[in-house]
Amino acid sequence: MAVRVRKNIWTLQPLTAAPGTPWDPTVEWYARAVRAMQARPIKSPTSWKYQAAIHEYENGTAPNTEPLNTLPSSTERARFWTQCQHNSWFFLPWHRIYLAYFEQIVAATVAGLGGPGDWALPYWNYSDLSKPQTRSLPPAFFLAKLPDGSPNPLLVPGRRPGANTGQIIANATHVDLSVCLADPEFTGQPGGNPGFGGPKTAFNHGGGFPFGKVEGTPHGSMHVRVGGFMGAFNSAGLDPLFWLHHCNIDRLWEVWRKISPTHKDPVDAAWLSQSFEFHDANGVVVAQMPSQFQSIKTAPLPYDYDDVSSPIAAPVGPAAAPIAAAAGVTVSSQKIPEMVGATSAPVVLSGRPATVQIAVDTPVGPAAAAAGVALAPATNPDAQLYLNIENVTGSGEAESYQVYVNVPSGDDPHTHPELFAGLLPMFGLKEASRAGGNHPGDGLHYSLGIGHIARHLQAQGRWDPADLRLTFVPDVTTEEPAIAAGNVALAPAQPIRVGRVSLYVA
Amino acid sequence: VSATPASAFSAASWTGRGRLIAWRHPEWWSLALSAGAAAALVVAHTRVFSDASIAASAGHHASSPAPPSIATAATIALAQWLLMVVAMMVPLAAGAIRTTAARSLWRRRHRAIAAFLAGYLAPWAIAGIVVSIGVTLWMPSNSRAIATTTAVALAIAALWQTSPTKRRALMACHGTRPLAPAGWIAVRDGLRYGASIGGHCLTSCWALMLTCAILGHHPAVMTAAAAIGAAERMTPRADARTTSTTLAGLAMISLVVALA
Repeated sequence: MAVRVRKNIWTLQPLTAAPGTPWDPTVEWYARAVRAMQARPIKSPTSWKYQAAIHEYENGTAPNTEPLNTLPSSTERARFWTQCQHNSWFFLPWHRIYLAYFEQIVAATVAGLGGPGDWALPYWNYSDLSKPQTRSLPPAFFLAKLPDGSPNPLLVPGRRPGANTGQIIANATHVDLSVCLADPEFTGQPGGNPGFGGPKTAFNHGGGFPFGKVEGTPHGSMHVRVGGFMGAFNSAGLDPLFWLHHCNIDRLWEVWRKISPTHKDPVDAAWLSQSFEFHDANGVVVAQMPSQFQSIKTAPLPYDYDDVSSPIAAPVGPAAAPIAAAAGVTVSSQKIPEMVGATSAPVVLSGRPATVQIAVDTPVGPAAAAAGVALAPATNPDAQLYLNIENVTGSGEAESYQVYVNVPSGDDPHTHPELFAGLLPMFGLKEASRAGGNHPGDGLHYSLGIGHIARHLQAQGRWDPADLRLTFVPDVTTEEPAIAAGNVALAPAQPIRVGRVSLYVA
Repeated sequence: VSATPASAFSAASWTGRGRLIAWRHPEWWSLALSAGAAAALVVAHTRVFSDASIAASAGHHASSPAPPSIATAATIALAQWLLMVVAMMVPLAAGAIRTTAARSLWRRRHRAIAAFLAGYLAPWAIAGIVVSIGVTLWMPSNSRAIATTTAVALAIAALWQTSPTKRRALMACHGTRPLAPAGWIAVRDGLRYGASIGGHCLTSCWALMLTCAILGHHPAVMTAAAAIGAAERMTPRADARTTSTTLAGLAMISLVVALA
């Protein structure tokens, strides 16, 4: 089988759309195929709506309001719909296989329409910091018409203000790769390092797990920055840009693996052999496992990327495993995170900065050796501190929040990038907060490494574990000219409830 | 790193290995309780069975003991119910127990687990009182009526598997709650979290457990019910019809075994 080559959309088309600029055939054929798939009934596994429902379909909740008699049977829906894997080590492999069959369906549709036989899904690389315009939507996704004058099916109304006029919708933080790509661990741990790929979970879980680093930024952050359908689990796949976004996330997995020989996928059978079911381009049921898609060039649906070079230097230092090594045991290469402090009451975020304080206890368990870490982090560079932001719930489409640590009283947090702990992307907040058949309703969970901030503060003589403060700042970027100019009003901030903030040492 | 407590263990020693496993699996003693409860139920069942066969083979017709009072019988039924809940349901809550420990200060994580378990068992105990009294007062004694009651219970259980309430409860069993780190509010939060998960588990599994109670906590029936509970817990979005059919099938097999 020929290997499809997925290309950067910015190499296929210019950054900005001058009137009369011809469309790249790959993008134009994508638009035509999307239109053809949108015309298929939702019962058809190769239809646009069916493909989006594989991610999530919440019957009766907008936009999932198709008449019941037009839907596949409940048995089929239970088996193939609402399968998306988040906050899990299955996030990357499940979306990889999902994408591969989607690509096969689009390619077959393109061929059926008389297009090229080697069509491949392009990816949206928004992380080229030398070109801020890459952080705007590719013009093909917001132009009103195709070159033939027909309506453009890639244009989806309701995206973030400015998105559909070609504005830059994200800043460097939203597309940052330096944190996720530098992580030597694929598999994360609840409480501790969330890992590049996410924590070990069962298939379709709940359980309060944080998501892996790449799932947070740039994945979650860019879902929120595009907004509209892209902001929610049960509608994301309806936006044609979703697939280019996930194509980039899938590419970043390849980038991560090539950065260092220590960057390895899980070897656990529970990960390698988890079966996921999809339909192929003929509508036939297929079952695939992560192990079959680890090598993309030899996968059942082989493909490759035009560029998997790393935008960051290879990280130095081994993946530390002090506890297991000291015990002479090879149970896992990872440490055991110990919770050393937490808030006692929830905090409500209402679109304004909010600060909470955490009472930090002395570690007495696995992190006891790192007792000095909480007290003097520079003494143990292996030890890490993780802020956990747990049970974040909300009922509306919410902006993300930035988290800063120990900002001096009265200072603007944005003037202290050295105290920036990370982003809390609110992708999927509504669905994750709603108790129902698809989610337990306990919200979103985050784990942010702040060891570097503790060391920075300690170097300045300002680190005091008895005075650990977090400031939540609404993530409204100043790189949105339309908004900055006051031309477009943002929706009123929806209140968000943070159940607890805790500190772990690992 | 050399001061890491783990280095106090001799390398690769069983103590070190055991300590590390206990650190990673703070739910170990909850599971030990479950194993103990399961063993107690099997022993009780075996003893009743062997007593009956000894009595029958020895032809002791005249000296059979007087039947226990209703209060005693209900208390025994309640004890069996609680043992069954600890044996079958606590392992299904292992993830929540692990989360409770991981979200607690190290020095109080086992206390937090104890609070969780107390909260978890509370709704089950209340349900157990109702079921025990009901089974004691109204349970028929002839085998045909027992089979009929069992068939009704199984039908209700199979139907319940497909209800939206059951589906929501099953998913909610995977939920978490914020836990205060210290003081009485930490105990309160542990109890609340346990009671919340226990309540969802009860909503999800009551019909299965009622069937077990009606069938006299037969080990084969409980094993089948535990298998269904574990399977659906691991795949909470699995098709309810499949689990319903599986339940009906497995329960019918168990019924045959129980009545054999």
